[in-house]
Amino acid sequence: METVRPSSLPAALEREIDEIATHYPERRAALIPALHRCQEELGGWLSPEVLEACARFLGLEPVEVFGVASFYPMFHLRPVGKRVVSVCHNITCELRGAGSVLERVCALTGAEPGGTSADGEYSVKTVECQGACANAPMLDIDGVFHENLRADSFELPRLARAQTPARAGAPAGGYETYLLERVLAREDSHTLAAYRAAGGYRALERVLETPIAPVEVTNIVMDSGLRGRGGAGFPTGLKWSFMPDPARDPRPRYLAVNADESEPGTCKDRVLMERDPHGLVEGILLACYAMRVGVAYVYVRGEYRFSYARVAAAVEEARAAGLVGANVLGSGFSCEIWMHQGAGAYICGEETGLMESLEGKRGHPRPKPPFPAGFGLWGRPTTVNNVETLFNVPFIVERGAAWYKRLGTEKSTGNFLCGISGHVERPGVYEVPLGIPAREILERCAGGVWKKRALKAWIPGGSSCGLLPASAIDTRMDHDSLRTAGSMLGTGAMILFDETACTVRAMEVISRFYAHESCGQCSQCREGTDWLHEIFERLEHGAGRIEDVELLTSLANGMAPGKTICALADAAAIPTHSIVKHFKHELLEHVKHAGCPRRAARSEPLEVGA
Amino acid sequence: MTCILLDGREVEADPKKPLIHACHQNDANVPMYCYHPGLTPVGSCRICQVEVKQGEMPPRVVVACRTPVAEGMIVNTDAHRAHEARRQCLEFLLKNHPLDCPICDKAGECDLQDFAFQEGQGEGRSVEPRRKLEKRKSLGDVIVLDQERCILCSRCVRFFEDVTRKPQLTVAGLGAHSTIETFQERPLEGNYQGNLADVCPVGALTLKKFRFQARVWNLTKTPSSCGECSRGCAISLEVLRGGEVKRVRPRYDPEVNQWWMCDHGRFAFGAFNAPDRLQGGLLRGSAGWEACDGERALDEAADLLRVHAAPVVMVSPWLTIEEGALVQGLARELGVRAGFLSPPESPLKDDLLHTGDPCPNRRGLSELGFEAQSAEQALERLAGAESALLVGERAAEHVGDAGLAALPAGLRLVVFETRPVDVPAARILIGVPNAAERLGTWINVDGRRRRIAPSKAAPSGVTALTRSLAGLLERLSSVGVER
Repeated sequence: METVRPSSLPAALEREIDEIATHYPERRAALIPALHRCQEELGGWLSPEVLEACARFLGLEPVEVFGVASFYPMFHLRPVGKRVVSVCHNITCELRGAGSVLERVCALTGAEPGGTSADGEYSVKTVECQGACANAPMLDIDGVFHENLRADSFELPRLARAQTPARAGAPAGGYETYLLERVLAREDSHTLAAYRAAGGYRALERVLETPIAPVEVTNIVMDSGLRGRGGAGFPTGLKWSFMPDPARDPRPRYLAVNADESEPGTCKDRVLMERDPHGLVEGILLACYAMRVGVAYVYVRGEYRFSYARVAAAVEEARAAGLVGANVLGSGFSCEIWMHQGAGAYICGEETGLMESLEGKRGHPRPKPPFPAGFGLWGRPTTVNNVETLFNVPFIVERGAAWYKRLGTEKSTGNFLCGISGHVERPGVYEVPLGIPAREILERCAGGVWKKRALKAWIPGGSSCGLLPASAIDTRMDHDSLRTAGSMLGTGAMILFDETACTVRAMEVISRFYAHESCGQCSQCREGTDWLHEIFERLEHGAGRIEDVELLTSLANGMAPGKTICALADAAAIPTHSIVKHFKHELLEHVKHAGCPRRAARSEPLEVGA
Repeated sequence: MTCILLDGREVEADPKKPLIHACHQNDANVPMYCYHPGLTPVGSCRICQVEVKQGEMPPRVVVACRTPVAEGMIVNTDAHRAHEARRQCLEFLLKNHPLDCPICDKAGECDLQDFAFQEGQGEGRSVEPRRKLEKRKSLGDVIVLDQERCILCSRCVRFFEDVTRKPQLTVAGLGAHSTIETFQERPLEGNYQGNLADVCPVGALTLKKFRFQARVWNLTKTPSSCGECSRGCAISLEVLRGGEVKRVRPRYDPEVNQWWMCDHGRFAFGAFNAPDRLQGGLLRGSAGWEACDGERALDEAADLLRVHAAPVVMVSPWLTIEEGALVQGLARELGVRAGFLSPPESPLKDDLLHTGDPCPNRRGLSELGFEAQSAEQALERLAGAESALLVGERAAEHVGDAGLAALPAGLRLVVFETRPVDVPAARILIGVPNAAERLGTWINVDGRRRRIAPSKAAPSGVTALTRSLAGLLERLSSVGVER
């Protein structure tokens, strides 16, 4: 480990940060990548001296850098052990034994959660959803995921040093697929050679060579009915059309790729990035061409190091092949793609939070209006699109809007990747058409509820969509059907709870997530998410009151809808409403029994559904 | 200007400012915490909710600080839904707020108290233990932070970003565990820290100097001007029960100091409370100083000046133009040229408010014909004179006590000052009110008239300097006084 003089970083690190800074119009945007590099190179944590040296090097005040570093869970502002073990304790991992994993980790290392072992070897952290839901439970040791853990038998030193690439689930059959075809066909689907062999970059070539006008590309996408796959489902072509006419607004403009995938239960963008990154690259290039954007940033959540590496490698392969950079394929269209790391904050998946973070600041969402197309990165026109959304674009351009509209439903066209997890036989990421009944995914893809148990509850599209009762399992997985059912499609991440699960415990875990992730700007969200969690915690552990049931609803009504800068407050309120609506009897039981009635029947620690 | 309908009235709204500004300009009392007209709006506290209707869209509840005004917009600040939203925000803000009012300096001028009273629900429903954070965190010499009281409006962070342009505070952490911090417990620096106590809407950031000094409802507040430099910031002089000045705060003046003032000016009020005051007159007799009333002292002064003609006349840089005009009258009567003591440039000069010139009335005095004199020049003139008049609060300190003490006893010095100037050269001393005790006008660096006004009574026996000067002039002039 190199030492840091009070006023400067090691020269090699400074050179690296200088190079990174050239990717952005403002030097400050290099801050979060710089903090990652400093933490990695300088002892696994960010000491005050390092924070100050980094600040000076980037032309910032130390207090600003401290404010930024303290916002992101991945940055350690206190010394850590030689190895850092992070255990996800969010809902899906909880359903598959995270409690036991954490216990075992603490026993093996001698460290408490949030602490370091006496010998300084290990630090142990609990973390929120890491995007390993289909392979839960998991732990991360020094940036490498170890998934599908056998909670009672894993050994830390014997864990593999390299991460296993994400896998895709085999389709159920009986419907057309395109998204995961390449991934399922070959292990090396991530390479340029494999991509080209499968017909990759043909769409881009045709657009550039014909040429097809940029606005035409937007029209094709609009016509296809493609809607955003990041959770909000906004029509993609329409979003692209919001970018101003370059003749009227000649300022530089950007595409920000939202690879911050952090919605609990969601692990599907990861599959695309790790196994088919060129599909994303081509989608990015086509989107940039359509919107006349010359620079794209791929904002990858900090924990997805393997995804980052795979996409970065693909970008370099593409660059070497003349597909990325100046004058793509000699067409006159130039498009630079820069990789960017997040640092562990869910709120940076919100498009304006993402932009703030990319600019090197705390990930505080911005009030809208103004919208990103008018005022985005550094105040310039910007579009933010999800990974899976962009991944669809080359297929749409290649095969046409008419083809795309035949898949899915009238208002929710195309296929989507359903990451299904929790109490199922075969958790995984499966390609299915929009509009497929949820039951079909559960039974035909995932093998049904595990251990021959009955279904009690399920979440259709990530924890922000709330709980639905088992009786709703025939609901079709599309935007309108789920809205009618009182929920949302969200990210299409299904989480299933069997009959032994406790919905109150589930809400304790889910509400803890939102309290942990609230950026803290808005009064209702900052205090409300914390308050909701406190109430669920009391209900689960014995100090619940009858008044709490109504209080939950009242607080959730005070937080949402539309009362805050962003929808995180809504994301906390919706599941709260859902447990009151569908599982009030479980809440009342917890009040009557002074805690979880199932907890009394077993010894600690409680394994939800184990 | 854009025309909107605000609570049923047609009003003109500045299109460059958010809706909340138009509301406040027109007496619509929309609550606010994170919004401050002098800082970048963030829209985070969510308290300034109002109902707006635009075109054919159904009315919606919005935060007024982030809503642009639009022609024909219909605004209802009294809508039930707006009140509901504010009520709920307050319940969230009060959930962890400590019940410190009985010991909190902000009580009586606290926006949380005021808006909770206006919009709140009276009782919170939380049974959860309150957050425990640092309650007496020193941020240096000026400010103390109580993190528990903080409602994370971020005005303090934005003050340093927007006004002094050097970040010193940050929100650290996130969510409900956010706190306001400096870097590594470093104290705040700079000459503008006191403004934090003004911008903070609650008692989280308070002045050490004001801690537990007074209940604000016992303070009488008088609009006046600061005299510590030639900016002449608009201030409020705040006096406790007619006794001491306990606090000075800036007043909003869009043309001079906006909402701010510097710490140097803010904390200089101790001089106004100095107990060492000259009341009435003091005459040097053979047996030492002999007290007398002001009128008798003026008689003696007039006699002295008739006999020992051509006195050196030197005035304080703090003299008002009203006082200055009378001194010029005296100078003409006495056939001499008067000078004013010109202090050297202050190192506090900055590109914000402090002009670097400690003389609040340089332009006024110059325009009246007073010649600027450094302390050295003044002493030189005084040393060679037969008699001299030294006039005004702070005149003695601007000549310098050491220099004054060294002047020959033969110099028959008549001094009008706030405190006794017991030096061998002094013959007659006459008490004057200080800048917290008198009415007058200064002219600031931009040529603007800055008014000082009395916030407390001068000690008994002290007459207004204008009156004393007029009295002296009357005694000396053969044709009476022209004012």
